[in-house]
Amino acid sequence: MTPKTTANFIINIRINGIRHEIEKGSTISQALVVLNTNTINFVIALNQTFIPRSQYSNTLLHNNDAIELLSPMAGG
Amino acid sequence: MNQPKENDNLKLYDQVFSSRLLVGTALYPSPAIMAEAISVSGSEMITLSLRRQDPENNQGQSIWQHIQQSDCALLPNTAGCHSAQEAITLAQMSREMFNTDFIKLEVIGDDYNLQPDPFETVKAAEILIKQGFKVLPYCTDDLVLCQRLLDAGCQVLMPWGSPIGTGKGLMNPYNLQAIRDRFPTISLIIDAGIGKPSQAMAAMEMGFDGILLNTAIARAHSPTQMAQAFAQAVNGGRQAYLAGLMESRQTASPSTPTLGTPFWQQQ
Repeated sequence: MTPKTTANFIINIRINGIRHEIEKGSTISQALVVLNTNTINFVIALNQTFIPRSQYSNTLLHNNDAIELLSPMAGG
Repeated sequence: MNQPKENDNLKLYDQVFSSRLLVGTALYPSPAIMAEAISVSGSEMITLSLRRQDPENNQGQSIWQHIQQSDCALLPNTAGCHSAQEAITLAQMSREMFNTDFIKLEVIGDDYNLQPDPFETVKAAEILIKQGFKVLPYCTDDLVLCQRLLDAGCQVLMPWGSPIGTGKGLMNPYNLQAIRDRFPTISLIIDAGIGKPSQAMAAMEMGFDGILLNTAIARAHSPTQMAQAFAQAVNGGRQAYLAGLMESRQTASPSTPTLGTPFWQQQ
């Protein structure tokens, strides 16, 4: 039987290129709360696929997932 | 002669704008100066982007607050994308963030001169149009590329004057005139490379429908004053185009009547 170490319950994800550890089975909504993301206006892509806000709470994150969390900025 | 219309508006898909000047929101000395310059320019559509938030720099939030207070329509861009897929994803994110179907499609093919990738731009345009976006593609002054973008469903084209941020103006007037002549009913906006009001005016005199620029205003010593100069130039060029420019000729022709010229003696 595999011992239930912490490692079994943790996955690695990247948000804007920076590595974070979160609980296995977390959704995007849960990850944003845990990581205390200091952003009000934002949109998200997961592994280069757009995720509508309505799907944050039912989109599960997996090991090595990459989130782009983008906010309004000046542009030409 | 191009007959002046009663309501001479710029049409972009199903929306009309009285101003033919579109302005970017980047590179200004401060968000407050940006807001003032945009207001003075009279622009009714402004460009902006989506970026990773920098925790050390809150300027994005400040700019966004100023933009939200303006009455301008928003034209988010896909600047920095190098593939159709990146541009499509960023367009979808922009639509949710800014609540608009308008997208300034930019897919860069060369990082040295920021020349758009024609193949990826067409590919992205085809998909985005099917998804209901109102695509304003940043493209080169290649006639065939413009035709392909129209075939994809674009109702507006934005050929470059010259590479972004160079201020070199209309690099290839022959190509631009050919595009104007071949697509007389399509809204054409010169996007990028405009450095002086006279260059914007020249494009408008050629019959282009609008000008999109950023750096020339934002980097002026007085962005507000320059915004006003560009607004006047764009309007002046438009009026001149509608009025009908005289044709140039090789030989001189006196403007004062020759009949009754003084001091003339029959030999």
